[in-house]
Amino acid sequence: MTQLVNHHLTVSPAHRSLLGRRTLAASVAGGLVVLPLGVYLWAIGPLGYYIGSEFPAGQSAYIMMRPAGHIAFGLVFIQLVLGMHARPIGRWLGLASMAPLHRRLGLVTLWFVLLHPLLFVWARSLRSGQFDFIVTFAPNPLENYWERMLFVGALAMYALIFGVVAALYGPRLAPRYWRVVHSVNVLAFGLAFWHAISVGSETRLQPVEALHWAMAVSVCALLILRFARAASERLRGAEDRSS
Amino acid sequence: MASRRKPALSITILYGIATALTAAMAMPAAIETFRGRSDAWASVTPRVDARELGARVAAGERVVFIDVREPAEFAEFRIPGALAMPLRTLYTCDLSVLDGADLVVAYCLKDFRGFEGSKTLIRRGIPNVAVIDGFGIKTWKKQGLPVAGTFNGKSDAEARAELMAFVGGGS
Repeated sequence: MTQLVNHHLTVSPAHRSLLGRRTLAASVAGGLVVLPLGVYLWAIGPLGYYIGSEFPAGQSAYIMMRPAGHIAFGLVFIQLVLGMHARPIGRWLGLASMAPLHRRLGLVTLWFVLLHPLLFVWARSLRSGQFDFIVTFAPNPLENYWERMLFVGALAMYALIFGVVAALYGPRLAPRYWRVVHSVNVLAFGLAFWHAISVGSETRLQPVEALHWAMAVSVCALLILRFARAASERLRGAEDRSS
Repeated sequence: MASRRKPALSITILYGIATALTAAMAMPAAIETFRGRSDAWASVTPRVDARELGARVAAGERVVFIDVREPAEFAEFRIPGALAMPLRTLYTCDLSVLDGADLVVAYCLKDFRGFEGSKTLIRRGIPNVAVIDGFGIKTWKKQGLPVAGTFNGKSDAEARAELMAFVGGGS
């Protein structure tokens, strides 16, 4: 510990290893977000095109809505991983507690989850010439396939807001149960995945599609692992009590 | 104490990146909002009135409609005779089916994807690309022009016959 604190004098092997692990974690997390953005930039061509006026009203906001969605989805995935396995990941990263990182990253995640539909509202409002938010925030699932998938995305957003609010106020209001409510974010991820795969512009281009499926499978695997760990801890606790 | 400062630096970096990305994403739309509407784009990608498109189809011109929406949307309702070419396929698919077309019209619901489709087609060297004036199949339907699909149970042939009659009637 003293060696870590005095890192400006010497870089100990332990510290170097920790830095390496943190760099690796940040690179993997960054890659999850950057890869879809790379495909997006390939798809839309020169981004500078949207600074001029050579496009119909609202097109620039629509174009920027797409990377906001990619970033939001990647961050939701990272948050799920951090949340479901906070202790082992925290130990691996040399953090006393994952809570501060998880909380702050959670707020950033929520921001991008909201930015995605807000940019779409901006786009639709510019296109139609009037403030147009109903289809984005209250889509009619019976209208057509597209609005149905928007509805799925809206549900994901509301579930996530609910889950984040539970984490912000739950520890004070319901200290025993807030984690159960907070875990609605797993449902939010599933809905967001469905929305992204159905109507996302880059989500059926490789390697983004493969990445999305890998993230979905990973979340399922991590969930199973989480339940298995919790069950084994409960069993061990029961055995200890009985012995 | 020194180790407590480290999380604050990474959090500052995190918030800084988030702010920079937000600003970058909002900037084009903000510029567009404050600059006001411009129709300069129509010199690159012409807008054609929906009824005029219908008339040109009825007159025997080879007007190819490219529906860039998802297959499930295409099945629900579409411009009769349109080709289903989802936006994600337009970047690399074979476009020889468009050879010799008098006009190629990419469309979606309100032409957010439709305009990206037209931009991609132009980038890939397809001539005579246009969009529907008023944007998308919603405008086509609003102007009373017929659609095919599972929503109304009409086949492309039935909807096309209706289009010929509609345009011929001049209503």
